[in-house]
Amino acid sequence: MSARIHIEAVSKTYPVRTSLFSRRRELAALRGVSLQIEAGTTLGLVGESGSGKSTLARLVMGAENADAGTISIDGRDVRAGLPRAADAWLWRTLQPVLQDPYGALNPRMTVAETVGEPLHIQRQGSRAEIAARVRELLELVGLSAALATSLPVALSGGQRQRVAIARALSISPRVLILDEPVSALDMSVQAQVINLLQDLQDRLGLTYLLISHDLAVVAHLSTHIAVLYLGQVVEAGDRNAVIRTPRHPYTRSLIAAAEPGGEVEAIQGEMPSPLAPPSGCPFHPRCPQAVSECHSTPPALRRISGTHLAACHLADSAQETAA
Amino acid sequence: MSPLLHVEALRIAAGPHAPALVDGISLELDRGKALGLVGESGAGKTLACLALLRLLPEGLHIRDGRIRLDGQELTALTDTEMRRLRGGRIGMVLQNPLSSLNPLMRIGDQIGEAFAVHRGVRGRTALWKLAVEALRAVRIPTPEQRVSAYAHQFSGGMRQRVAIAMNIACAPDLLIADEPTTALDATIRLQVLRLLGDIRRERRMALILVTHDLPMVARFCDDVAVMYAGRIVERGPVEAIFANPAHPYTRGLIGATPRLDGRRRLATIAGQPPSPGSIATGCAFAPRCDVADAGCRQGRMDLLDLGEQRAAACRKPFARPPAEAAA
Repeated sequence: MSARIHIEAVSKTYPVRTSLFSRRRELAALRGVSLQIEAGTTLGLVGESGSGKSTLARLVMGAENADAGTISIDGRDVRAGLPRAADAWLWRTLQPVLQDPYGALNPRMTVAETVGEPLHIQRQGSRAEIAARVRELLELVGLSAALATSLPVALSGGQRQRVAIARALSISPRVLILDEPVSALDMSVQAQVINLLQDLQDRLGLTYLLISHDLAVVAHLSTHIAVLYLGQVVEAGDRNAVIRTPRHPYTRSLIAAAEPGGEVEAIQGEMPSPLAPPSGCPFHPRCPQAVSECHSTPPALRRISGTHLAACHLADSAQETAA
Repeated sequence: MSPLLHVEALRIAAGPHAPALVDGISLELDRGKALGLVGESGAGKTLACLALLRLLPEGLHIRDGRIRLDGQELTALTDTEMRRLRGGRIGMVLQNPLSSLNPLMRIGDQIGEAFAVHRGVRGRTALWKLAVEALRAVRIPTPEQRVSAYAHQFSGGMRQRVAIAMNIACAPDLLIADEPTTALDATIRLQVLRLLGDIRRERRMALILVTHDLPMVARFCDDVAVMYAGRIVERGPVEAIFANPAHPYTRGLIGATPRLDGRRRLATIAGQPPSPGSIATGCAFAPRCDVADAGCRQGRMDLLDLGEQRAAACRKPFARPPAEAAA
C-alpha cells in the first residue's frame, strides 16, 4: 500500500534573536511551498544549508506545525498534536531514517531489540511472532541473522544504517522520510545502501521523501526533484526534466557543481541569510543572467511543460541561453 | 628533473610490532601538479599527509621510509626546522576551517602571524597590509574591512578561504588539502576548488587533495593515488585511470559513485574494509575482490609498473568478472 503526500502553500517562520539584546526577528524558513508526492515515487529535495529542506521534513513528519498551509497523506491531515488515534495512524504510516546511524541507535540495545521495539510498543504479535518478524526484517535489509544479538558498537556504519532502516520498516510504514541517509557512509557502503533503498521501494511500494545536499544521490534515487532556495521551490519536476533541461539558473549551477567537467559559469557569492531575504527573485544577487525585473518582482513558480515548474523570469529563454 | 615531493616506502605504525597503518607507500609529485589521494575512512590518507608534515598523532611514528621535499630529507629534520617548514614551504588546509582559526584573534593578526614567523615582517600595519593582499588573493570581497573581523563573522566558505589564505601566504611549494570542501555546500565547494586550482597554476604550487569525492578528483587533479588498507593500490594520470581502472578496487569505487545521468543500479563492493593487522598475507582487497583467485591470497602485493606512468598493486590488472565481460 502506498501513500500520496500533498503539501499545499506551506509557510513556516521561526522567531530568532541574533544576540541577547537585539530585537526578535522573523526567520522565514519556508515561504509558500507546494509539492506533491505520488504513491510509490521518490521526491528528492535539494538545496543548500538554510534552504528549508529539513524544516519541510519536520513538518511532513508532524514534528512541528506550519504557520500557514496544509500537509496531508492520503487526504488525512498531518500536524503536531493530532488526536491520539490520528497520531498513532501517522506514526504507523510514516517513519524517518536519519543521517547519523551512530546517534540513531540505542547503544545498549541489541540489533534484534532495536528492530523489534516498535512492534512491542504497538503490541503487534506475541514474542515469537515478533522474533520471526525481526528475522524477516534483517533478511530484508541484507543483515546476517548472526548479528541479531550484537550491540551497535560492534557494527560498521553501513550495518548500523541497515539496522535503522529495518527498525523504520518494522511496523510496515508506507512512507519513509530519508534525511541525508547515506552522507555519513563511506563510498562503497553508500552504494550498497542506495541500492537497498531502491530495492525496498520496488518490493514494498514505499513512498520516499529524500533530503540530500548531494545532487548525484538525489538524481540517482528520485523520480521527482524539487530545488529549494531560501525557503521557496525554485524548480520542480520529474527527474529527467530537472536534470536534463534545468530551467532555473540555480539548478544549473547545482548540476555544474555535481557533474565532472560541467562547464556552466560558477555562480558567485553565497546564499543570503534567511533573516534578510533579497527583494524580487531570491536568487538575483547571485544570478549571472539577472535583469532589472529580477531585482523588483519575485517570479512566480510557472509551468514549463507537464509537471515541470520553474520560478524564473527568464525560464522561457533559458533553453536558448543553455544551447 | 627530480620531483618536488618524493615519498619512498613510508611506513607508519604505533610500535615496532604493531600493524602498519600506512604500509610502505611511495609517491612523486612535480611542481604545479595536483594529486588526488582517495580512499575510504581508515585507508590511511590523512595519516600519510600528517606524516609529510611530521604531525602524526601521539603514539604513532614513521617507522620506515623517506620523505624528500625539493631534495631535503624531512624525516631527518629537527622539530624546530620542521616547524619553520610548516606554514612556510608546506601548507595544510583541513576539513573544518574553524579548527585552524583562532576564535579570539582578528583575521589580520592570524594571517599576519604567518608573515611574522616565516618572513620576519614586523609591525601590525605592515602585517595587516600583507594580510589584506592575502585575503584579496583568495577573492574575499572588501578585504580591507574583513581583515579586522573574527572567524565567527565569516560563513563556512569564507572561513575556508581564510584558512587557504593563511596557508598560502608564504607561497608554499606544496599545499596539502584534507577534505577541504566536505563541509561546504555544493556551489561553494565548486568556488573553493576552482580557487585552489587557480592558485596552484598561478604559483606553480603542488597540491595534494585528500578526498573521497571521485568526480572532484577527475575534475581538479592531474594524478590520482587510490589507497586501501594503508597502501596505494593504484596510481597514475587521472584520465587514464578513470577511463580504464586497472585495480578492481578502483573499478569498484568508480562504479559505486552515483551520477546525474540515470537511475541505473550502482555497482557495489561486497563487505567492509579490513581493520589494520587483520590481513596476514596476500592482497588486502582479495576477500572483497570479484576477480581474486587463490594466488591473490599469498605473498605480498606490491605496485607493478603498467607503463604510461601507471601502476597497480594487482596480480590481474584490468581483469573483469566473467558476467561483466560478457555484458
